[in-house]
Amino acid sequence: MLFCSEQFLLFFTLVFVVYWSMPWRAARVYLLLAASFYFYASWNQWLALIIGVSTTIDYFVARGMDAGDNPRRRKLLLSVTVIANLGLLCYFKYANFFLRSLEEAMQAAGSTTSLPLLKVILPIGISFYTFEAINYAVDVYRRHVRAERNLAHFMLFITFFPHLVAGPIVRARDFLPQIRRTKHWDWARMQLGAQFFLMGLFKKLAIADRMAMFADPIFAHPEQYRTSAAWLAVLAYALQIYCDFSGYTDMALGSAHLLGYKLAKNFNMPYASANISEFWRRWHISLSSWLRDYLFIPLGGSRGTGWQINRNLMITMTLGGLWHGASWTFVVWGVLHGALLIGHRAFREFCLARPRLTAILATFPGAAARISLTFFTVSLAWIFFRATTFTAAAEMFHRMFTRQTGMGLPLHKQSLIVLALVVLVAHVAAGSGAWRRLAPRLPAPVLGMSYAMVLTLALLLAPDSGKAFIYFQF
Amino acid sequence: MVARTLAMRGRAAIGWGIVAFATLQAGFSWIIDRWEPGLRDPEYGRKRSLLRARIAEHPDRPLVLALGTSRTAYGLRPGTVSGVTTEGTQPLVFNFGVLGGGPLYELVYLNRLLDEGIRPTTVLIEVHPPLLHDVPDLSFVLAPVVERCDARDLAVLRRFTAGPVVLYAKWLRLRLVTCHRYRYVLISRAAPRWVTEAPPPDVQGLTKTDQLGWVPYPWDAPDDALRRERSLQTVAAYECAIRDYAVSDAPDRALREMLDVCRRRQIDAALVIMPEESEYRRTFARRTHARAETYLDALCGEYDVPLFDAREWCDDTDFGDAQHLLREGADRFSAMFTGDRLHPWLTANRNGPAASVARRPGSTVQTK
Repeated sequence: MLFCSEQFLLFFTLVFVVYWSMPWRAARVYLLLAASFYFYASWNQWLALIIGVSTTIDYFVARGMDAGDNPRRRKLLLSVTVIANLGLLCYFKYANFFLRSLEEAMQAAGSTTSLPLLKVILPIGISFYTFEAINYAVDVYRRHVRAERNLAHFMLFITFFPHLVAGPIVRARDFLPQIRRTKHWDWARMQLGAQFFLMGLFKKLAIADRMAMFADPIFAHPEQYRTSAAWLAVLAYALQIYCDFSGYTDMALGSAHLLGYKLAKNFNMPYASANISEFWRRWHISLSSWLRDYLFIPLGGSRGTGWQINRNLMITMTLGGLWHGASWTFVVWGVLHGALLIGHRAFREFCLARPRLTAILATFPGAAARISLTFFTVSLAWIFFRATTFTAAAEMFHRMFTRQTGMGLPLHKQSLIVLALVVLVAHVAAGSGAWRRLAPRLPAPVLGMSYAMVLTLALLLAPDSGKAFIYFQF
Repeated sequence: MVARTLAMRGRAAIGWGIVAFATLQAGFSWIIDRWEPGLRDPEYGRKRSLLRARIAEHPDRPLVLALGTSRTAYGLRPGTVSGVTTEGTQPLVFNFGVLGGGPLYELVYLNRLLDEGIRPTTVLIEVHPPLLHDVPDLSFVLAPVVERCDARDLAVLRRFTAGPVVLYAKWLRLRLVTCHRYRYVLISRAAPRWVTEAPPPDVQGLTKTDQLGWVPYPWDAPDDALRRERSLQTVAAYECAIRDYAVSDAPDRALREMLDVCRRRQIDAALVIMPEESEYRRTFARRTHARAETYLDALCGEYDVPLFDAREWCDDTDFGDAQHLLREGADRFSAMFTGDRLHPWLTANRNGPAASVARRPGSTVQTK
């Protein structure tokens, strides 16, 4: 069930009321666990079994790692859990991709072999919960956290429904202590939770779903559209993916707050980034920090020669691209971002030796130019993320960079422009600190009425056909 | 202290938010119920506006209101009528047929118009025999969908449903988030460039409603093969209604209630069966007409109202499908109906009791 559906509203209301009616901490944990499994089973009952079994195995393996001091045994157990989780991910998500790719490679080499594909259903959220299980196991191995002794607590850490299907990827040291803490009703927290949820709902319904109506037809058949329509489709998609994913995250954070839990922030106005490095510190923060801590740094991180650092960056971003989907377009997207990060590293070194250039770039026009260029580059890279084939991506670029006639936008551009301006103004207001200064001073009635207006606008502007969240497919 | 202040502020903000949201939904409900019912029921709203405009232009002309389904909407073209006079005053004939309408629609619309102070001197009530058999597969046709109704409509409809609690629950669920359920019409009115979907062809066709309520058939005129194919599709669609055909309680009571209202308000009433294509007619004739005719004759006798049975009045080439007339067919039918049937009846009514030309059992007007 989607966060913006009536079904979820009913489900959450019931869980919320029962949860806060219970005074017992342990009972609340079991309630949330049951609710989380019900939430997951609403997608597919059998796949709920998989997550239950894999989580149980991870629990016992971690306990085993924590119980002894033998480094070889601990390393073996770590390998077991990492390989098991990655194996689960590879089987369900990448097996057919690898088989198809192998078949194409063999056919390109002259073979007529046809490889059978596996009949697998992709478990929703598998990319997220396997990564959580891996980071937990590594943290236990490194002795950054003790293995959780309570199976119910550990299961809740993995399956907590607000973050289960599309993140944020939570760390055990952030979440497990929260389970053990007794929660008390806090109106301020309820307000914060409601605020997050409403903001996410607005981003999803009013902006993301509407932007999809611009982008989807054009990305599906770019050859039918003119140059200006192609450019606006790219802008629409940039807004769509940001508002869709950050909207989902806001709703996840809001839901968690309403239940007394705090999840880590996952977005920090990424389109206000002045360079690609900063973009990856602001976009999908839980994934980028996971890749940094569990892939980039173990590979060597920023230590070593320039070539080694660049290699580490490229491997991390390529695998990061592959994480998003079983398709070569995602891999290329990752490679592009790896190249951009390498390029930015080189440019940073170039600027370090040129203080005047650094000073110019630090001015307001310089910062505006950098932010614009970063947004432009990221938006172009999104074409590979969105296009289903290289042919489609190539056609989009062709449409954009050569003068082409064809159909205009599928809808009138007024809503695209207005909503793009809304996002821009919101970024400026938040980035300048204006909202942070203003919000505490707003009287409660004004705040309440603004919540009502945001909710009304979200419900009013929602297109007729609702869409699933983009990151649910990962 | 700070925590307490934040908590109080948080509680107040949430409280104000809930109150403000409920107020906004109530405001939207008021807009669609009282200020502009056309937002809730676009087809009704359009015809109501046209009717009010015609009444304002011709306040002294007696109003003849035709209620019915899409058969009436596409088939009766009052604008082609001329020379129909009673006592020197030409009646104002207005077509209030609606797409997908049925007996409960007609009842609800009649009540709405009367509540708004629009009082016709004569009401023509279309009867479509298959719709007198209440079957679940056609329930969406028999009664207005809840989205189109206000509280007064529900007070009428609750008498015709087995589950009034369910009816009210469905309606309340819609009205809890009025802005979301009616967003298409609200956006169409406030910011038409923000609409994300085009209306279907038959709804788009409503924009072509003429000044007297007639709606042109929205699809192209078919050749014989296509007409036959459409006719067979219509027969298949109504198969559930003609199987084990019998006149059901709800449509019967709806008809009677309309006739009771007309009697109480001293409004002349007549029942009309609109023209049908021959294949369709033959299919239903075998299985329903006997029962339907017996029922209608008895009803007409009881209420002393005529029945204008126009099923055989038109050629197959006049039709776009099994039951909807093309423009030319509507012109021919309208001229025939108003000139040969409606005018004499209205004149007779003015000159003496309606019974003198009332249709008795066995004497329904059938021939051209």
